[in-house]
Amino acid sequence: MSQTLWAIAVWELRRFFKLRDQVIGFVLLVVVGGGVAGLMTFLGNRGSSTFSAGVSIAFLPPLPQLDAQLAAVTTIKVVPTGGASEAELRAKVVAGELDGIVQAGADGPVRIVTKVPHPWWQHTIATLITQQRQQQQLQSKGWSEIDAMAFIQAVPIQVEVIGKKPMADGLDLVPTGVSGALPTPAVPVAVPSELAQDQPASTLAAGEASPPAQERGGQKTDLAKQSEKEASAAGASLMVGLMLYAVFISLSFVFIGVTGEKRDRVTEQVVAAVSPQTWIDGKLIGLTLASVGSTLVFALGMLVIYLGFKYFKGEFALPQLGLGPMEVGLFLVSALLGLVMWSCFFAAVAATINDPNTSARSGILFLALIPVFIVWTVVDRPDDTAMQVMMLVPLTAPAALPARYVAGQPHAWEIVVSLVLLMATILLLRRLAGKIFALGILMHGKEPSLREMWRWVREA
Amino acid sequence: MANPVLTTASIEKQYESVQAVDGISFTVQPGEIFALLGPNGAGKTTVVRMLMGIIRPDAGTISYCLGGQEPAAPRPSELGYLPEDRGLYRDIPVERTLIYFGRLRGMSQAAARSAAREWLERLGLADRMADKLDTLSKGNQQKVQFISSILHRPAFAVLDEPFSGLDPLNQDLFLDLLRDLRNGGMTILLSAHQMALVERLADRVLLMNRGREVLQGTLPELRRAVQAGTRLRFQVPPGFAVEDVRVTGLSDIEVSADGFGGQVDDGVALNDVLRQVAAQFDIYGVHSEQLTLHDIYIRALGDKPPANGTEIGGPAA
Repeated sequence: MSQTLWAIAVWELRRFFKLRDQVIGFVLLVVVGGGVAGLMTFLGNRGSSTFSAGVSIAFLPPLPQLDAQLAAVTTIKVVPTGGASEAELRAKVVAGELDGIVQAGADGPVRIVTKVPHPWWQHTIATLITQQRQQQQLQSKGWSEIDAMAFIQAVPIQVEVIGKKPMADGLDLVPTGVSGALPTPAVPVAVPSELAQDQPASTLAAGEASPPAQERGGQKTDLAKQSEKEASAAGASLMVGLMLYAVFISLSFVFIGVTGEKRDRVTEQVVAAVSPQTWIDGKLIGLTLASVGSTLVFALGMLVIYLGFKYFKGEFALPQLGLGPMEVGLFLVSALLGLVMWSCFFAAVAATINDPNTSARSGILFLALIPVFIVWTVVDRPDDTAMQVMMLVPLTAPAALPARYVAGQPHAWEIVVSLVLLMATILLLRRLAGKIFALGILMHGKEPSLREMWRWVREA
Repeated sequence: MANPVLTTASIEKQYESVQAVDGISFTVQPGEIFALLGPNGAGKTTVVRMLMGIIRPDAGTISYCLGGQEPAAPRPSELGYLPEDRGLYRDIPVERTLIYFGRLRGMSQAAARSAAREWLERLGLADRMADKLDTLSKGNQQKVQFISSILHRPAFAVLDEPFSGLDPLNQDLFLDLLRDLRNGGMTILLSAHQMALVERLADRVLLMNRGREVLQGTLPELRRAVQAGTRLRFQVPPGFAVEDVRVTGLSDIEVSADGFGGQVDDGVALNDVLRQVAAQFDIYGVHSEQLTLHDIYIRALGDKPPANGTEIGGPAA
């Protein structure tokens, strides 16, 4: 890269990717997101008699094996029973002095006695007890650590609601004094490899007691496959969403940058020093990097907010998106190529805009968002014909390629053809955009007609 | 004699129905200040843009010979350019902007920073280097713009309307700066319409009107071209008519209340004229007058008016 090209790229990057502003924006995002999370938690617990930063529960009988894990969960406080009987503890729940009683044996379902039908903390308790039981079970059978981590199954929970009258419309799903099984979230289940031999695949339904290890078989259960599919779909949607954000950011950077330079009459002095093609190339590099940087900051902010939500719920875990290094790598390559391609278009159009406040041409720029939107609508059907075609069409490929790679099953040749077509389109667009940019950037007072622009392109 | 830094031959440019430049030819010699002079709309900026490669001439040739014996395309580091249509990045600190333009002209980061600080110090803006351009007065913005065009010490600087928007004090400052640059070996081509300023600065001048050359040369050459040599005024006792003044080599004689005046013809020695006048009158005073560039321009135009809706700049300071 020549010194001039590098100087332009760095200049554009620093103009638009201002770390201080990004950090302030990030903090604001977290503060606002945290506020919204807190508000939603508050609203979600209005039915609870004792909403606070945490809840008080008692284990009957006590379960000291969970003390260490529960100590790390600041929103759940374990109250010692002090030798109180179940009847006395129930009275405390009814009186609101206690949020719930947890009754868990060495196996079998966990029973929760509480005043609300769906206590938010039941999943945390279920997860911790599940892990504790698995540890116990796996250690006793001598499995390895990796096998133990892969072997996760949900513990069923039964909630008994007390001290509350059933609703007339029947919406109170668990009447007072009646035990009911509640659905628990699906958890990916994998079986240690040594246990997979000759075992039929089985389905682990949410809320069901898991079968013994000997009864599980296959590389993955259907539930595990379903969970992975859901995770992949989430990952694909995330990629398309981030791509959409990146394209939008890139659009605004290029638009503001180019029209601002025209407005501030900077163009002539720059063009006298460097060729317009070098200038637009440097811009494309710098502004693409700025867009990627801003998108990463945005993604990081979203992750922090997500984890904040989880923290409020007492579950501090990274989202399951089914993304490995290959998926992330392909996404970054596609995103970079896509942003460069769209930035060529943005720069060429922006260079022909005389007054960004009044030009009707500004709206043309938003056309770039349409292909990404289209991909968004079919991202849940990654192997449909539509998605296969969009993966090959350069306009939609930057979003469709990584999404389909994560959630679908593309052939290797499709990936290669998609990337080759995308790069060829970029090379062509770069030349055409360079010609339009070179002539448009020096025009003041009027906008070239589409016919004129077409003539420039043909003459190029 | 060294090769000209710049040679243009019969360059032309037409915008739709307007012939902006029509057959302009000139050369710029190394180390001189060459001025394109004319009213607004004369075609100066079009010539400048063609020289800088921003637009292409429809006809004619432009060739540079910077630092070598053979004409060659100039490198970015060899040219400096102050456009008429000027502006800089408003929301970025002055020093960073200058370093960027230095980098575009091939300077290293360190050299650009050093040069920027040196020039800002020289123009009294050292304490504003971290400020955004938007916060500077118009005059100071003009200084920053000027620095950005010559920061890299180009061999040849093209300055389009460098005095535009400057107050008289800053005009004088810029005159001194340009002389210093020329004395340091830089060749300068400037376009302007402030004739009084150009008269004080330029070594050679090309007068333009409606895209065409009106006159070209040094100031004495221009005066000769319009037959506007030295004009003498004699303070003598009254009581005579024009016919009574019989002085060979003195023409265009006018009589006034306190004496008479006339144009000294080309090639005539002043002492010959003085001897003849002294023989006829008692001389109480003699004043020598020369036509200003403005007068020369008006005289050269004759019955050809300047471009529509424009005025020729008179004395600027």
